[in-house]
Formats: sequence, C-alpha cells, structure tokens
Amino acid sequence: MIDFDEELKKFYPSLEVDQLEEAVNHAELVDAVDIYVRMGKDAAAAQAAAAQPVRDMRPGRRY
Amino acid sequence: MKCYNCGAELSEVSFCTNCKTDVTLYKKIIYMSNRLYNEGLEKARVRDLSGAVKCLRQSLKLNKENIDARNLLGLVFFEMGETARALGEWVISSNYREAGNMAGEYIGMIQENQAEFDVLKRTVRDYNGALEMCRQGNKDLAIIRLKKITSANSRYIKAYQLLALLYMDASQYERAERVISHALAIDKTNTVSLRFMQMIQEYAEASESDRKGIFGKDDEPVRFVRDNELIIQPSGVHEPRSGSFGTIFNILIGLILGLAVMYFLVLPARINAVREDTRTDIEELQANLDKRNADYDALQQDLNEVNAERIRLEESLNQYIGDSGTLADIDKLIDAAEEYLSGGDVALVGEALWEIHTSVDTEGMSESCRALFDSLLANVSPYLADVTYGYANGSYNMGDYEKSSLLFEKAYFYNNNNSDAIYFAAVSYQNAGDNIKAKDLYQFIVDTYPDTYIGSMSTQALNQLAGVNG
Repeated sequence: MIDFDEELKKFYPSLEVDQLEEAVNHAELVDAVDIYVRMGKDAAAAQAAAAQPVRDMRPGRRY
Repeated sequence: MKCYNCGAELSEVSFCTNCKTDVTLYKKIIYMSNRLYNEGLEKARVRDLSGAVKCLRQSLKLNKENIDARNLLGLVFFEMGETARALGEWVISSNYREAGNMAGEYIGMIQENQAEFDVLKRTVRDYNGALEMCRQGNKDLAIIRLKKITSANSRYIKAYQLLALLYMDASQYERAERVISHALAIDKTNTVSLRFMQMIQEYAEASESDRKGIFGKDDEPVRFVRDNELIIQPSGVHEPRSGSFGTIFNILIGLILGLAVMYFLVLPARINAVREDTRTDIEELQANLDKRNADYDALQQDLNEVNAERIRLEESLNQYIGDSGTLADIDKLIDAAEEYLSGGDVALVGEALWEIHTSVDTEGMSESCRALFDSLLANVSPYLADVTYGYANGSYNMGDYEKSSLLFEKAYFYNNNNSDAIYFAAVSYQNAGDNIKAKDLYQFIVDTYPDTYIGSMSTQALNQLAGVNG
C-alpha cells in the first residue's frame, strides 16, 4: 500500500524563474577539470617545496 | 582542445607542445565528458529523459564548459516542464561562450513568446503551491490546481506525478494510471513514474484477484484506505444499474424537457418572429392595396371623364349627323338654295328655311351658312310674309288657334317688322291653351317692343296668366 506522506517527502518545489538569478549565481560549478588542474598545481607546489634544503628544527640545534 | 595551463592548442601527443605540461589525464576527462554527452543525446532521442539528464549531468561534472551537453540538458529540462532549470542551464552556457551558442537563441525564443512564458512561470508557481497544499492536507484543492497546471503545461512531469500520487491516495487508480501514462509518454524511464505505474498495476491485479475470489466469484469485499479510514466495499453489492427501462425513461425525460424548453423558450420567440413577419407582410399588402385603390380611383375618374367626353362628343356629333343634326340642316339649306336657284317653288324654300330656323340655332351657324341663310330668307320673305300672315288671320278668325299660332310665327319669321304677327301668335297660343309658349312670346314682345301698344297688352296678358297660374 502506498504511503502518501513518505512519497510526498520525495517531492521538492520546482525552481521558479524569479529564483533563477540567485540559483545561477550560487551554482557550484566545479568540475573534474578544475580538480585536476588544482591537483596539478598542488603537485607542482609540493615538488618545489621538496627541492628546498630541510632545516634541522630540533631543540638545541643551531641553524 | 586547448591546454588548461597555457591555452595553446593541443596535439595528439600526451603533453602540451607549448608548455610541456602532461595532459594525458586532462584529455581523458574531456573525452569522457564528450562520451557522456553522446550517451545523453542518444537517450534524449528515445525519450529516456531521466537517463539523458543523468548522463549530461555527469558529462558536465567532468567538463562544465561542455556547451553542447549543457544546452541539451536545458532542452531536456524544458521538455520535462522545468522551464526555470532549462533557462538556468542556457544562461550558464551563454556565460561560457556567447558567440555561436544555441543557448542564446533558445532564451530569445522563450522571451519572444512572452504570453506562453508567463503561463509556464505561473504553472511552476502553482505547482509549488499545490505541493504546499498537499503538505497541509488540502488534497482536493491540490488536485484541482494540479489539473489546471497539467492542462496549461502538458509537459510538466512533476505535476503529473504529484497528481497521480493524490489519485492513488484517493484510491482512484484508473485516473492515476491515466495521469502517470501522460508522464511516461514524455519521459519513458522516469523512476518515479515507473514506480507509480508498477504500484497501480499491482493494486489492479490484487483487486481483480480479490474480486474474483477462489471460485472466481465476487465474494470478497474490496478494502482500501481513504483519508486514514479503512473503507470496506462489499463486492457482491452493486449500484443499481439503469437497465433498458431506465434508459428509455431517461430518454423520455430528456424529450419532455426538450419539448418544454421548445415550448417555453424557443416556440414563443419563433411565434413572435413569425407574427412580426406576418404583420410586416400584411402592412405591405395593405400599402399595395391602398395604392391599387388609389390607382383604381384615378382610373375610374379618368374613365368617367372619358365617358363624359364621349357623351359630349356623341351629342356634338349628333348635332351634326342624323335627320335633325346640323349636317341635315346644312343639307336642307343647300337643297333650299338649289331649289331657289333652279327657279323652284318659293314656298318650299321658305318652308325649308323655317324648318332650319326652328331646329338650329342660326346664330351659331358658320359664317358662310349664316350668310347663305340670310340671303335666301331676304329673297323669299317678300313673297311669303304677307301670304302667310293672311293665312294666319284666316285661321285665327276661324278659331283654329293651333294653326294660326304657327302661321303667325312663320309670318313674323319672314318679316320681323310685323310685330302684330308675333303678338297674335302669342294670343293664339294662349287661346289654344299653350300658356307656356304664350308666356314666352309675351315676354319676348315686352322685351322687344316695350313702349308699344302690343307691349302693354302683352304685359297685361302676362299679369293675367300669372294670376291664373298663381
């Protein structure tokens, strides 16, 4: 037997045209390319950081 | 395809020839996005709109700048009745690439038909209102509003689904099936629609088997829930059906109502119209009749005038023709002239002139006839005047007053200087008893010879006759 209330919960209001501008402005437009580019940049930054000499920050050591 | 790092055009190799960046994975992402777009396009073509939406969304998750995928997604949303979402996709698409983008044309087409656009906007707003009504428990109102929405926007899948849900909740499964069929015609693989359809069919099968029972008879009651109440409908009890008698009865009622409407509404108006037409015809006929009567009167008057003219002309003609007509008198005058010129009897000439004198107004004769008449009379009167006067005296003395009166008149005709002749003619008439003729002659004498003896005698005679008559 159908459970009306449960089924009704699955319905959501439709986007109205008046709300369109706000919806477009707040749209989260991040795609896989963005992630990939970001990952590439992060990897490049990590490589650059690895190329610098590591300073000994232990107590009692002078640097 | 351009390098995401430097924007240079990429070649077939796996790195950018300009900045040496490795683009292997980047290319795979773009290819995958395009592949998903192709799949979405295939699904959209066979009206698998839900599947198309999934593919296109995945495509855009991989590459948000896939213009074709975004435009197609907008089209699919528009086909599903989601106008705002369609516009959203097209606006984003236009932002990514303005030139050579179909999205701009789609937006333009919608904006051109403002009336339809307003309807679409209103249906979305009404749908949200109907959904809120459902949540508040106003299901009947929600059904009415959703019916209105689906008639205004026949592609609004969510509205069909919500309406089907409401019908199912009200146990109106046939209606629910009909509504959800509309939704499935638009989107064949919509999960919600398919699930609803499955539930409806399951219920239909269950109710059918329940109705038939073990022995295939309608022995089990039908149970269903409505407004949180369990309703048990006995399956063996049916609404009384209207059989053939009921059908005939209904037809008769319809006929009676129709006749009543005809009698009370249509017929009076028709009768009035016919009466009005008849009255107009009668007025026209009356007008024609009056005109004909006037024409007839005019013709009758003309006819009377023509008849009067005819009679006058006949009388006038009779004066000229016949024994007593002018022509006959002229003939007599000519005969008399011939008689005189041929040396005939003067008495016959005189007699002919006397007859013309007594029958014709000689004053009205033509000039030539009058001249001929006077000439003949002047020539014969010296021979006849005295002779005639002598005959008259003889007759008077003999007491033959009728003869003497005529002879005295003739004598006066031949010689109008003989006033005694006319006086004795009057006396003869009086003695013969013709007082009317006598009075005419006395009056003639009084008028013609007023200061003479015979004038005074005539006056006395007139007085005497007046006393006798009075």
